[in-house]
Amino acid sequence: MSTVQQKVAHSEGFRKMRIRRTIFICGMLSIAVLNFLVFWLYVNFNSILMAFQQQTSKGLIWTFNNFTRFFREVRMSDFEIGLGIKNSVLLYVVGNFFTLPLSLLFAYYLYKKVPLAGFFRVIFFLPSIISAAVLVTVFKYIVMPSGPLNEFLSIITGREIYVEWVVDEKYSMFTILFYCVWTGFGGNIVLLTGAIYRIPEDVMEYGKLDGIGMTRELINIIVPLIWPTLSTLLICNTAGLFTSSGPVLLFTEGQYGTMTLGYFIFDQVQGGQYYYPAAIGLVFTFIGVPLTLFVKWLCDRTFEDVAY
Amino acid sequence: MDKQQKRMRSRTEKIVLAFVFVVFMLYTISLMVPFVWSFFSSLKTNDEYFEKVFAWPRDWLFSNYLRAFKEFRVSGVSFWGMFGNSLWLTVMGTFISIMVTSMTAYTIAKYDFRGNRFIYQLAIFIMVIPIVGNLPAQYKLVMDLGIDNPVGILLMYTGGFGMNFIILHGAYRSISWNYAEAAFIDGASDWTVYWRIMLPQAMPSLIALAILGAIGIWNDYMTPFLYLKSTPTLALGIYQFDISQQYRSNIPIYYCGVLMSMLPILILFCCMQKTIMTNTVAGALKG
Repeated sequence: MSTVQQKVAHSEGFRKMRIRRTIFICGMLSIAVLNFLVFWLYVNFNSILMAFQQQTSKGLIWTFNNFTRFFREVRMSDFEIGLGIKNSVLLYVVGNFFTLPLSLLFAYYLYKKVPLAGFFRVIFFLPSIISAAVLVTVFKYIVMPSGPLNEFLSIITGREIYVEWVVDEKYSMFTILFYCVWTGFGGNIVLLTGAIYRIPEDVMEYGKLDGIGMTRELINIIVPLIWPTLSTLLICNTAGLFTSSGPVLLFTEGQYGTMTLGYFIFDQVQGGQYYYPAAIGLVFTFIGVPLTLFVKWLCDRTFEDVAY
Repeated sequence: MDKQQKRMRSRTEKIVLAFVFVVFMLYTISLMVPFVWSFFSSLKTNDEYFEKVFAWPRDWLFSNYLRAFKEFRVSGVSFWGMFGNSLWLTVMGTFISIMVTSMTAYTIAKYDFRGNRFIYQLAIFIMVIPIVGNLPAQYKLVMDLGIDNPVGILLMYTGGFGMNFIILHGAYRSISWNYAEAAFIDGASDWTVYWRIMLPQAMPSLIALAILGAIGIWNDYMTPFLYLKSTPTLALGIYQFDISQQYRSNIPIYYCGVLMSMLPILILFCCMQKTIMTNTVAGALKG
């Protein structure tokens, strides 16, 4: 074979290989890309369109009615949407500013080798792996009016206690918040201890040699070093502020003053309403996206990224 | 720092740790008591259950568990039917989702092509951006496509992005490309390299993610609630059983069903505890 022929054969082979590789790459990505196009791009695009649509007797019409209805109803106290926003924010605040710091504190003590630390870590993980349907059910039966909690309180206080923890509006949201702390706590601790255990020993040793106490060790060494994990939790919580409905479906189906925004939308869809909740969603996407990006920006600037 | 100060410090540390130990113990008890109580309640008769909340079961009715297999029914589906539905959705959903994510992450991590960087950025973007209220549009799509059945719904699990994508992308990145080069020289195809060389090396990460994914799907009641009403899974069944008042007539039997629905996950957790615990680290979102 002459060199020219060789070159041609070589480039022919190279071309074939390139085609084969392109086919491979396209094949490998095709399912994910298709899924993205249909279940993300199309769904979200259509969601925006639906916000401006309304089903009437004459068929589908384009309108701003969904938005005017929203801005009217959100101001009126006899509509549940205002309450839904309030409760969503309440769940968010409790989750981020109560459960999370407390989890961090306890994760730290777990790391400091409280007796039985290994055992506790496993137990604390249980709420994250047991179905919420099971947890809520068991919890609901415990706090039932004639259930063990009231019985227990009656024994302690020496008088008949009969509180409807779930269906009495005075207590229902408090009960749900308590449940969220009770179960949310454990999952956070596992994630945070996971992050703390990854900090190299010698970094902690330096601190010890300097003779710093527990509080300073936690704030000055551990928090900056596990900041990626903490900020991920914060960002995810913020992103879920308006979307997650909490365990409301399982507890009360939004009754007794426990409506959340996420559940409100869910409930509307269940009732066959599509266009109005799509508009509500769009409004809160406009609030939620900048808010999430702001929290991310804030988190990124709090501590510089550390690599270890 | 002098010795006395040091001793003082270690003493305060000890006191704090002892206090924390007590708090942890109380929390642990609060987590265990409901289940222990449910277990004892599940062995009672219904009348007994309402008579005395804290009493031991009079006769330990383990037969309640056998009855639950027959009587724990939701929309005409038996316990075993719901168990089967849960198992199908969990196994298939997990397998599909992990496989698609692995393929996507591998290709983006190891092949340099136009659009590579863009897809990676996009994956992060769609994770961080909270889209509120696209549920109506999603629900309509599922209904229009007619995939609201146990087979069709698997299409929803074919997403290749999300948190798992980021984790697997990192995992494939850290695997050396040398073996692949050698295999290519021996004439192996891209697919062979992926399937025979790279995938086995990423197996530890894949298994950990699969276990967590499986637990998530097994426990998910929202998806079945929306799309699989006539073929309930156990998670949905527990909820529906709870709200349908007529079944309240026998709560101990209900407890049997609830406790049994947890068993598969608890067994999986006990067997795989180490793998799960060491791999649950929420990584940073770097964009």
